[in-house]
Amino acid sequence: MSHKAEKKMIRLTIDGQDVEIEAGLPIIAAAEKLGIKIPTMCYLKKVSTTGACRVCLVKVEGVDASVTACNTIAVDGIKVTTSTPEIERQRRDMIRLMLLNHPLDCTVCDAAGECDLQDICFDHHVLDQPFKAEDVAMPKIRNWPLIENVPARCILCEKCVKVGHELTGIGDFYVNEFGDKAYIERHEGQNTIDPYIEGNAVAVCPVGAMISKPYRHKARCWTLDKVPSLGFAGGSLEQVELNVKNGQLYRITSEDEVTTNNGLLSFDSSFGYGFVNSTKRLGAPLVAGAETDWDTALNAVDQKARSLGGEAVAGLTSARLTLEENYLFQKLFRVGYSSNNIDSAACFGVRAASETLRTVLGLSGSSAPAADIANADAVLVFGSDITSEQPQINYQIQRALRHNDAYLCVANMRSVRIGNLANLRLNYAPGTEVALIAAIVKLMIEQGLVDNDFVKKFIKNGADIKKSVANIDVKKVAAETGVDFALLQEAAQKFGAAQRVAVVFGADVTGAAAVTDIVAALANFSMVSGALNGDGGGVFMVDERPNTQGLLDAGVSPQQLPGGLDYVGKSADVAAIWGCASLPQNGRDAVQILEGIEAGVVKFLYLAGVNPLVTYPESQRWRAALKKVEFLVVQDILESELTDLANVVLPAASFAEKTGSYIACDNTVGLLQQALKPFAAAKADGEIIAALLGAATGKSSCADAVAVRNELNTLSGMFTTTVISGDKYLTSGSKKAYSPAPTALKFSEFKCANAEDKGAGHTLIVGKMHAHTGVTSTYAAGALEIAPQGYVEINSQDAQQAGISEGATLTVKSAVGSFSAPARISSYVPAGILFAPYHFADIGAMQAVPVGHQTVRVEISKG
Amino acid sequence: MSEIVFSSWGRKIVDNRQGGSTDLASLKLKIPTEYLCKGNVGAFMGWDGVVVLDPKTDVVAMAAEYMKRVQEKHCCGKCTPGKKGTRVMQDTLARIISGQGQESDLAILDSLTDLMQDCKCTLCMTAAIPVQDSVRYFREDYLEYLAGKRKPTYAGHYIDKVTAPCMDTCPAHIDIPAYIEEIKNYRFDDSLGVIRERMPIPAVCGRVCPHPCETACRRALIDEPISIMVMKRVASDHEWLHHREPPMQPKPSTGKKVIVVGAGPAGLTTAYYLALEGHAVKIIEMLSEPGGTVAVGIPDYRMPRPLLQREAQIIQDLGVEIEYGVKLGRDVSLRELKEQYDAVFLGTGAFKSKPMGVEGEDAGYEGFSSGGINYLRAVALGQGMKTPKRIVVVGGGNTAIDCVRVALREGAEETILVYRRSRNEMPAEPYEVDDAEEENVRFEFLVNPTRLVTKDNKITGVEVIKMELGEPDESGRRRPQPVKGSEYVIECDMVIPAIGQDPDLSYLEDGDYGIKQTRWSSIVTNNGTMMTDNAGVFAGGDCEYGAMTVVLAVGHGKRAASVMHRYLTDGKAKLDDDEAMEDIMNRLGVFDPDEKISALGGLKREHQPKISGAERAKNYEEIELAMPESQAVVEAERCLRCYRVGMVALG
Repeated sequence: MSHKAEKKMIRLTIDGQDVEIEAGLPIIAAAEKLGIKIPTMCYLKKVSTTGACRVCLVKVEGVDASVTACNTIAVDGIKVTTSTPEIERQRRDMIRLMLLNHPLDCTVCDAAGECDLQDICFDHHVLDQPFKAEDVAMPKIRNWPLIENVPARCILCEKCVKVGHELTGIGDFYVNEFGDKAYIERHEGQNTIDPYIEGNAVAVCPVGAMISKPYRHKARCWTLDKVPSLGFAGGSLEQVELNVKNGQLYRITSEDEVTTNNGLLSFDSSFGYGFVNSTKRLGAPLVAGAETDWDTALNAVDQKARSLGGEAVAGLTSARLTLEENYLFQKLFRVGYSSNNIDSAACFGVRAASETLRTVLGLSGSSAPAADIANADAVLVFGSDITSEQPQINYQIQRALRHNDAYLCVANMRSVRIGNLANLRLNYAPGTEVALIAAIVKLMIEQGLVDNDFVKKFIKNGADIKKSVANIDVKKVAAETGVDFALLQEAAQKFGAAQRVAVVFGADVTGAAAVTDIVAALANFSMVSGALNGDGGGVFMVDERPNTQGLLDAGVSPQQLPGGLDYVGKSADVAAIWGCASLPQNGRDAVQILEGIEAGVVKFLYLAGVNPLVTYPESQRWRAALKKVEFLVVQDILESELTDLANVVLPAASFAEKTGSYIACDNTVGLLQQALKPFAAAKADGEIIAALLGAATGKSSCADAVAVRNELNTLSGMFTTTVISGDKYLTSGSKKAYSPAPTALKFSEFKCANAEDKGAGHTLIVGKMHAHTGVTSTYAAGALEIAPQGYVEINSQDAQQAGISEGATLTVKSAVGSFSAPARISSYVPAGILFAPYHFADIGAMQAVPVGHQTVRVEISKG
Repeated sequence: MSEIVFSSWGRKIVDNRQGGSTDLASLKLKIPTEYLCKGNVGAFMGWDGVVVLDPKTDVVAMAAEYMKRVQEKHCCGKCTPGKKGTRVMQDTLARIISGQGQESDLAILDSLTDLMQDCKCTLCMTAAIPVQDSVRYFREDYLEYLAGKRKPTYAGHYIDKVTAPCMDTCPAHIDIPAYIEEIKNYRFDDSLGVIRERMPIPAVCGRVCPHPCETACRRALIDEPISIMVMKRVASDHEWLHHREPPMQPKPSTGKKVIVVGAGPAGLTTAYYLALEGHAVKIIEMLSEPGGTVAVGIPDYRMPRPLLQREAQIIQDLGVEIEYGVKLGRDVSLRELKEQYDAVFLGTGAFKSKPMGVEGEDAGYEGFSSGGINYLRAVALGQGMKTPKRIVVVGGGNTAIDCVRVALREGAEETILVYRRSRNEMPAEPYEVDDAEEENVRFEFLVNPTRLVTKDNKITGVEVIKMELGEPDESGRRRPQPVKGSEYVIECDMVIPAIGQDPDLSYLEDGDYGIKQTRWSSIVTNNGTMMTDNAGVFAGGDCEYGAMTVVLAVGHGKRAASVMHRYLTDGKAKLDDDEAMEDIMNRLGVFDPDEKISALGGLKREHQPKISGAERAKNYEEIELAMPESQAVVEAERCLRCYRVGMVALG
């Protein structure tokens, strides 16, 4: 925008030193550039200025009064002095006022040791208190979830108010009351079903006013070791510090500016980490339910796997294992057990989505770095509860909204949090995704809003574009999708006009039956809208798991070798590198493994960090299969129904207890750094798998992440480097940047599905809720405080019709299975749609979900 | 009691406690001596000092009460010295009047006043001033308290009110600093919520308000005024551009019925606030669409009508009914309305064009428009108005400018604006004059029409005479005088006089309603209540004031609605304390153009982007484009938040 283009440089003097900064920045920014520290309590660079504490007073020549450095915009030629006796006196008085009636309960305050008020009093030798006033502070607020608010300690800097509102887009805090009674209060928030509480409020609080309940009175901050590593949820590699001591994870923090997430924490990092310290952690290998040593357990697995032969052996792994671990896993099966029966949850849509992007756009992962989203002029969030699925992508979108005035369109079957901020909400009917996208593309074409230069240069079959929409009747699409024609028109105009477009899609797309068609349609949209121009924005497939891209890149799939190499075509080359004669033929994917167990063909199943009983579609079928399978190996970190069924349980290390790489959706390769020793006798997944590989091949196999990554790169060439770099937060390699060759892209036909049968029944969507991630979070007290159990969201109209009241048990039945859960009456789902989170073992919402259909027609009944 | 006992107002000390006399008028201090019907004004305390009229006033007790109200009612708590400092001052003063004070407390009050000069905004900063004055000039009184020799004498009533120069100058008294701050905090919905407390048509006033507030912006004293009007548009457009439903919900029905005559800004505003209070409101409107002069007098390139209609729809969504094509005096009489409704609001505008006073203007020549406002209306409503090639518009106001620019869009090849004074004296907004110039409008300054030139009963030109500027008249502008013998003819096909409008109050003529009119044929209302001499009949906007601004009409509508609400619920058409104080402070004046402000300036105000060039005159697309929100945030950060608190003590 024009007002930004005009930014020029200005020169000013601070304490006699000249400095040049961009116009529009506050004085404090100029001081920072010179390395001059101006004390402040309320300044937080990543949010708008507040000017509350009045400690950062400075003198500007020619201005009588002191001015605040934090929110006084510097202008050309000013001469600033940061310290004079008068300023120091004023500062001390401000500090004294702040300290007036501030309880000196540092002895029991969690912030002690990292409290800015302590530091500033200390630095300014504030020894006395000349002021007196009645203490009118509000009492502690204890009834919020997860956060305790202590108004008496609050200095009202409003950082907590702003961090939510401006960075995550979920602003529940506000200043209530007047004068010295003013304190931070919290709106209940719009979505009472899935109530959000902003963990970053604790992170940014300069004093001990915002206290994390899970961390309260747990540790003195100076006794904690802070180990830089990665968050355990969301495919964006949140750079965090694991705060540990005595073998326990106490909390997760992050630093501003030096991290890619700019210190911003996901809900999971703020409150959901408790599973690491759970009493349900698996601490010793079990064989037939009895504790044993590692050799015995591994020997049992090795013997069984090898004795049954490759056809009868299968393994499922997950995106919670690192890249290297997943690589070792597929190698164990292919080389050690001569089996190509390996897969993961990617089988249920993510892989198909990823392969479609590869086929039509030549993509592996996203087309651009996540930070490019912040430069977008227009953002489409399609079929994703992005705030919940990938909070750090949400953060980039929020930046685009606030700092780049981006237009936001949210297309979803239900209301999702980010929809509250959207310019345009396209609430489409289930199954109409392709039609919706096609209609928008058609309107763009008709109005000449297509990026023709891009089309001409990069799209092989550019001539097909017009043809592809010839049969699309936009009016009919409007009726089918339930989206007004005028809204489709607006979407076409805005995305057509935007220079830089970001397209973000998530679970509702990757879990859809028509995933391939929808992704192809979104790819079409991306090509004509300019999302692939490479000058901002881009195409982003998001997933809630931390290492989905790494899982795909590791080649845990019967069709693929590491680095996305074709299994059939490249297996000879890879076999040579691995030093074996050949790789096994055929191979079963997850569904075929299930069928194999049911048919009695697959007799051995190895589950590494995956619980099909909760997270896989048709989970009831899996339950029967796991009971049936002759030999079940469960490698996991927590006790569950699964470990009860297992013949051998292999206790694994959590993300905090191991090292290895996660690959983000945008192809950033981050390195987990080990903060804790593995719990009890648990071992890192990679170490366990390497030991089994060694046992199976008779050659010692190395679990060392560097060596594994190098081997992976030798055979796939997927990295430009595998060198570890970074000062503190490490990356362990780099993938090639996306840069399509001319005419390399393919515009696909729009395959519009018929809208789902509108007859009796409802459509159930099963997905993630923000407080939980996978199953592990159901072992974290913090996440359980928000959502202690599963539920089904139902629209009030539907509830009334079915005679269901809030909290009543609702049975949901599809063609493949049923489950019962308490009903939650919600305005977040439209009539005809139900939403159930999948995380909860006791509910088992995935029982009703058929393979390949995250949305499914169901019937509901009371009780 | 117009004699001043003591005044420190404006840092000018007048102290007659030991004798001497000064009256308010001699100090140009417009403080009333009486307050509503509640009593005499004993003293006024505010941002610029203390004024004592009643020698019995206990200034120390008043200072204690003032600071208590500042801390507990007005201080936002969002800066350290404000939050804590005013609390210390409140408690210190309370201690003193309870006889527990010490002499060191006086030093604390003094030093806190200094510290308060570093507050985030001027509310607590200026609130410390009268307290410091009281300590300085009423020190003996304090010492008596400290010595335990005195008990407080409280006034019968203290009435306080927060204001700001911009807020005071805005006829609608919008809490401008609050809505600007919400923008600064990226809370556009909340910003709009603040605006809607006082103004239900923000999309309009965010676009076409002459923004008198900006002339009272203290920021202008250090660099340039805040773009207050544009900030309002940003807040309003945000809701619209996000397809959001407005959050207002009317209160439960009161069972009272109100008729509003005219769906212009005054009528819409009155209807909006009455509907929110739960009254059943119907509007009758003579035109076929809502908006009054805004709809048919302001062209779409300045005020797109779909947005105006959206605002009217929002008001209708609150339950207000609008019936179009009904004209008071023609289709229904005021008597009938009075009979059928519990209260009536007249917002009939000013639609009668003033005559130019030249020969032939009533002869019915083809090509002679009956007035700018009629021309604009005919074009806006698509009433088959044909615009020929060469147009002369007479006048220097906004309507004249609108006429020349609309004529261009209606196909005129040459448009000439004729004005009897020079460019500097034009009442039109300077930016509009520049805009017209950019669209190739020709200006003929210092000329005045003397005669219409016709052929076959058709206009072929207008004869004008050159003028020169003489001595200033009562408006302060130099009076134009004709230069003898300087007549010449400007050839044209059409002449549009646009020299002003008067209300058409013919509907009052068919009965003796007891409603007074001014000699400019506008309706007289009483004491800021907007009620006419006919109980239950209220009036506001152009029909009450004469042709003025949208924002004045909104201010009238809001005031009328709140008084009407009181009239409907307890039968009394009276101002409440807030309104009375609003008027008191407005007379006193809140903006001081001579104030020396100690803050760093040097920042330019942000401007919204604009379609430039003469090409834009080919259509009615909006010319001023939406300011990007991130830019609005930058602009909002410049606001100095010039709040101040005034309080009267009644004897």
